[in-house]
This record gives sequence, C-alpha cells and structure tokens, in this order.
Amino acid sequence: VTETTLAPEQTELEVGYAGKSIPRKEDGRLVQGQGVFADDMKRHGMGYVHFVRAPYAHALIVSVDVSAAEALDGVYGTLTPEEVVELTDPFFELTTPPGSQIKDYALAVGRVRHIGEPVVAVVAATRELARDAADLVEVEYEPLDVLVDARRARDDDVPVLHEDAGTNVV
Amino acid sequence: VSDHTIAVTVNGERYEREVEARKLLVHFIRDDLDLTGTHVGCDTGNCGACTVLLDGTAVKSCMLLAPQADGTEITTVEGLAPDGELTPLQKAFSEHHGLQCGYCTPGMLLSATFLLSHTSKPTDEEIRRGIQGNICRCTGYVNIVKAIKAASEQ
Repeated sequence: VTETTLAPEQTELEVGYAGKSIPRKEDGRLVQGQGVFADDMKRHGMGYVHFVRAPYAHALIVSVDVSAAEALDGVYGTLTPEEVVELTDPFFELTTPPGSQIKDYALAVGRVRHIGEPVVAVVAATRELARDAADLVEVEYEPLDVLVDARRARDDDVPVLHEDAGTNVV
Repeated sequence: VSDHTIAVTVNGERYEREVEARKLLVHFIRDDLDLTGTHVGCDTGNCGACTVLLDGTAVKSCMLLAPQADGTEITTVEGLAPDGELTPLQKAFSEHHGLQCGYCTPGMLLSATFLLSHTSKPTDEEIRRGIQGNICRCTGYVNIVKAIKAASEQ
C-alpha cells in the first residue's frame, strides 16, 4: 500500500498490469467532492441521531427518563441503556480473561466510565430537533470515585472500572 | 431560536436561504445546499475536512455559523473544476497518490489551493505549514506534499 510506483528499469516485463502504475478509478470523483460517504446519503424520512453523553468520568446511572423528549413533535424515538441490553448482545471481546468477561454495549449500561460516553440516543426529523430533544432527557447519576493517573490503575486502593473483570489490568 | 435570511454565493451561484442562527456553515453547505463534498470529520475545528474558501481565504466551515457567512463568496471542492477540467492540484493528487479513501481530500485541496494562491512556489516546509490544519488518517502526508509541490511547479 505504501509503495505506489516502481522504478522504470524494473518494468522490462510488459505483461498486463505488472510493473505499472495504474490510475485509480475513484480518484476523479474523490477530488471533485463527488464521493459518497455514509454521512452524504439522504433517504426519504431519514432521522438524525444525537447522543446524550455522560457529564461524569465515573458514575452510576440511577435513572433515565426520556418521556419529555419522546413527547416532542418530530422525535422518531429514543434508545435507552435498558433497551440496548434487551435488543442487542454485548460486543464480542477480542481478548482473553479477565478482559473477555467485560460486557459492553453501544450505550453505557449501569454506569459511565468516561466523560462523553453515550448514554441515550435520540432520533428526530432534523439535526437541530434531535439536539433539542436530547436536552430534555433526564439522567440521574450517582458520581463514583475517579482515577486520573493511569500509572496507579494497578494499585489496590483505586476504583475498578469494569466489575465484570474485577481488575483494571485486562 | 431566531431565523436569519442569508445570501451567499457558492461556486459562482447565488443562494438565499432562511437558516437558524445556530446552524453551522458546514451543515448549511451540506444539508441545505446539498454540496456534500465538504466533509465533517470532527466538528471541533481539529481535522480540516470541512475547509472551504471564504472570500478567498481557507476557513474551517464547522467553526463558523451560517449567518456569519452572509454576503460572502464561498468556494467548495465542487467549485474547483466547474466544467470537469481538473485543476493542476486535483490532477497532481491523483498522479502522486495523494489520496486513498478521499475523505480529507476536499479539505486538503482547498487548503492547498489557498496556499498556492498566495505562495506560488512553496518550499516543502511551507507546504507542510499550509496543510497543518488538515488531518489525513490513511494516505499519509508525504504524497500529499509531493502532489502540492508538483502542482506548484506547473
């Protein structure tokens, strides 16, 4: 992937594509802004998602109330931690125990483990409406102790992030 | 939330639209004008994928509100080669493998266009400074710098 051209003296054998730099078919549209990436697609009745994110680095999620958001005209729906557990399996953990015992989902379940972790997803008719509706979601947290020094993560007296693993060393 | 009527000229075409005060210029360009060549990579001003020319100067369009662009002239990647005849920069990016997935390419091209508009024969260092606000996560910068250099030599 990194070597894109060959020295001309190596192109003695002129059979097919061997030894030649072949112009890429996609370049023409990509340099003109005509590539179609996921975010460029529009569909009839398409919704826009906005995430309610954790304001704490470490906290228990006590309660989630999406009723005010759902009541807003133009809101298609919400996805809560409880629903994510019901509707999806935990992500496959590509590692050995104890790391493989960690259960995690597309949204924070039970507790949040970093600031900005997605807790609730809100889907609405427009980007702005999704954001407004997300503001109406009430999440109650119970803040937990945090650890800000990665070098101390192995110590005994520090908070453990994933109880499933029972240790911060995974 | 207040609405504003704004008039902008984008790639030579004049648009008059009503927008919410909080709408980002990049969302105005992408959602309201359907010019999706301008990408959103981070919407925090770090990545430069949303770079456009605003009255000839390269700006990150996620760092401006649409009403701030009222009365300006904007060039997006779609406006670089309006009749399909690629600019030397666009050709050089392809010829020197300055793009792979192409996501950062529009922003790179606009930053490079701005650079060459005021520094016609930039050194490698000036090129690197010129694209320091644009992040590429797959091609790498070496071929992008080569491409800009080659375009400047034409």
